[in-house]
Amino acid sequence: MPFAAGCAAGPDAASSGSGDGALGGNLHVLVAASLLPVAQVLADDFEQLHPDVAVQIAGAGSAALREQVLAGAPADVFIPASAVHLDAVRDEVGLASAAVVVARNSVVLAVPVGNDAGVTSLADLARPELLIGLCAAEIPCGALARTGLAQAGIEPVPDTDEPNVRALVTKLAAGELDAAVVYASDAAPSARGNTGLDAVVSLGWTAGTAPQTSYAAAVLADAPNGAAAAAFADYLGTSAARGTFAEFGFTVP
Amino acid sequence: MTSADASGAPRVLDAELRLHRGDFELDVHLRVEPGETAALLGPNGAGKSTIVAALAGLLQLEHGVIKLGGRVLDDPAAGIFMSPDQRRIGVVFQDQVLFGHLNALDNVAFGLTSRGMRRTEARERAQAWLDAMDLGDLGHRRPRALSGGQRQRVALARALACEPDLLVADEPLGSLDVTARNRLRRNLAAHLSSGRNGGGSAHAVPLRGAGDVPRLLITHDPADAFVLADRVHILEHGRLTQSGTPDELRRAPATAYAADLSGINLVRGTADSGEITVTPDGGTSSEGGSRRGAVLLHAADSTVRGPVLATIHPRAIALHRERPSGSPRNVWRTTAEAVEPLGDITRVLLGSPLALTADITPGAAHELLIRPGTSLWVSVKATEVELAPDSRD
Amino acid sequence: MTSASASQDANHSDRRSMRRSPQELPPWPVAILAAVGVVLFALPVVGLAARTPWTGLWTHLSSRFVVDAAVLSVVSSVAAAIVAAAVGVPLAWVLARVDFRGRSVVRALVTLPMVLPPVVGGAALLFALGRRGVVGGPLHDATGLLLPYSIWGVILANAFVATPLVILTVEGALRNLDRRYENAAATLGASRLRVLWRVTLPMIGPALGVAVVVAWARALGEFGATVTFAGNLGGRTQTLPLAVFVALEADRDAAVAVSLVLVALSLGLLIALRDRWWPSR
Repeated sequence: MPFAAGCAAGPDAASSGSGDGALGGNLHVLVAASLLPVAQVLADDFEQLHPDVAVQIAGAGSAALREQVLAGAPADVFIPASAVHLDAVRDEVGLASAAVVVARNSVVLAVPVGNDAGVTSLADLARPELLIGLCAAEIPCGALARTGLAQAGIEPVPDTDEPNVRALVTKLAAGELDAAVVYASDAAPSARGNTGLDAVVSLGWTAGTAPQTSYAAAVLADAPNGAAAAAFADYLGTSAARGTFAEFGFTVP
Repeated sequence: MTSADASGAPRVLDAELRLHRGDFELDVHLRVEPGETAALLGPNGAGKSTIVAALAGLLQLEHGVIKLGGRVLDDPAAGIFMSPDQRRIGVVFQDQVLFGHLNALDNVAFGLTSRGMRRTEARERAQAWLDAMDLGDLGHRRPRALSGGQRQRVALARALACEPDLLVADEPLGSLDVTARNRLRRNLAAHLSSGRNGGGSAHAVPLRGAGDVPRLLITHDPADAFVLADRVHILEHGRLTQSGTPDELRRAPATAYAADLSGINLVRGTADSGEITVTPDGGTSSEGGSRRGAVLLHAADSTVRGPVLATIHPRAIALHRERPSGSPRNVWRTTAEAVEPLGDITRVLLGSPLALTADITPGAAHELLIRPGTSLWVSVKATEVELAPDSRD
Repeated sequence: MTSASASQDANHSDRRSMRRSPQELPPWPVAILAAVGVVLFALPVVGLAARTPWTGLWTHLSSRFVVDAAVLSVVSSVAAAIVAAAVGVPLAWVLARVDFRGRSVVRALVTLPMVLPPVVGGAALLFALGRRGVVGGPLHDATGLLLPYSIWGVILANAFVATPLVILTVEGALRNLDRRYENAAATLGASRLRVLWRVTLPMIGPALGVAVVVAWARALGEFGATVTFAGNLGGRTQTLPLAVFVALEADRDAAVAVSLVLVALSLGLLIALRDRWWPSR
């Protein structure tokens, strides 16, 4: 691929839609785990526009990704789930340009198909006889959930503080939990097909008041493929990309 | 009295053993009387270990039956198979197979506690057995801290302590070097027949030795068989090719293997400090031994006194035309009485003063121009004269 | 002294003199690769030590969540090692001694957790023994027993990944064991169970010890199956590895401090047990 891209560099490259010169090579995008499904789709769409670019998506916990970036892993674009991690990277590695918020996510109360435990509101999270799962307080979805629950005056009694949101969704979908607070994107209809989740959206949180987290895309100062990185970051702001985000349960700015 | 088992039947081993493993077929009928030591003598691969395994219950018969006293141990036709732990057969295994994680005392006590005896009582009896084997103060030692001979005696004590109805010794001297073998063969002879009169009664705990039970000695060494056994069964290719007393076998070997084994020279005499006075007719061949009264033989082993059986392998006898000048302690003059070419060896029967059999190479026989009546010098190293107490009544 | 023990002594002195002879010096490619190996294993420990916040170490280590996780780790890993031995030894015996149809399938099945990603193993456990699991469902309906989110779940997940190590080690030892010792015990009147207790197990003692220690170490470090099956809750199911993982998200110093505890605990016990259990030559 990189060789093909090299050969293609020339007059033909101008035909690559955006007209910003020769885009090609590998593009390494590190995304928060919660973004992984949508990022795959966005990458495919981006590659349609720029056939010479091969987008490599790596999804993991935001903190783990931060450690990878700081340790010098090849990375062009970084999209964590929390501004804290972005700040750390900006301070230690530097960004090519200011990070731009590309999507927002909120947390929702979710139950498995059937809702056997009869969960109706956030208050049920304090019922000790139910199996309740949250994200660990140390990771963005857990912090967000706790913020929201504190605002609602609920003191949850979790049976597990899952260290990543996918694991929490898996347990919930398997019926091994009665209720959990997950990202809206995990409970979105597009995600439900895969996970078997039946979302009880906005129970307890009136629409629009659920706490939100922002995903800001940043192009790293020493990005090996800076041109493609900038193009990808721009693409995330296009209406096409915004539509994709919305489809996956995210809200867009 | 003690020659009967718990059911009152005399302890006779009567075993018809038929089974096959791969291409090997075993078909043997073996009968051993109470108080009799039978030797099963055969080359490697003849089926000796298979017989041990079948008797001990580690292998099932396909056909036949094993009876011991009044008990049936294995009878496939009747659907009877008694497991090893129920058979009351004492086995002295090749290489002893002592438990390395237990000391000598607990090795001997193992069978007793296995049969439900209390630990303290079992240890007491085990100690008595060690005492009887002259190992009284070595009970705390692990097997690896014992000499080969000591391990051998522990193994025998372990087998006998359970008061078995049959004693099987599988190559009991197999793993020892020549010197140790000779010493132990003596020992074994004494211990095998001990208890014939309720032996060991000098101890606080009465010990029942192997004196009154059938004893089966498994060996590939004719010296073991001819010295220790009352009756020798020769096993070849899974079948008994000949059975009889050592004398009968020597007189009329039925197979080439038996002939080779039976060439072994046994000389009866009285030992004192390594000097054996051979009694008239002490030779065991049919011609009789000494014809001119007492002959003196020298043996390297000076520890045995009293009646002995001296064993001399036919290949250990050197023949010369002139008086040999070297170091052999036993040198005498004799005549060849017969010369038999037996393929790769030539067997020379020697006349007075000691009727012995010597096996030499055909080349040597040719060089020495031996014919019946040829005058020869005989030499035997003292180390080649093996001694064992003559325990036969 | 017989020649047998004399030659043993000779072996010992041979060994001693060998140790000083040039024959014991490795050929240079061996020396280089061995050195690379040592560096490979030593480097992470060095890296961890270098990152360790030595000044605030005690504060981190005495914090509630570290102490809770350490206690839970020790209890659950020891329990898992016991379970692994209790289940693994009989299984190893059957695999080593009983010739039955499908033995290779059974062996593959019980050693699967060694090659399976632990997370997959944990998920499989959840689908089998969880509240909605194939077996766990009826069990929960009948008894109210729930393995996930409890220390029992942690122990089970740990035992799941640790038992194969016991099975493989013990099966190998049983296969190498000279059957004649068991036969001898049987002829001495020992029942099959007594043979197992008094002869077989003592004779494979060293291998059994190694197996249990390795199983315990594996259980102590277990992460994937535990978090997937038993979840993660401080004081209930959060073991040291889980605590490290969660702490890495928020407080790197704390994570490093906990990691250090884990390394020190494992290394210390492995060194202490080495002379006792490892076959020394």
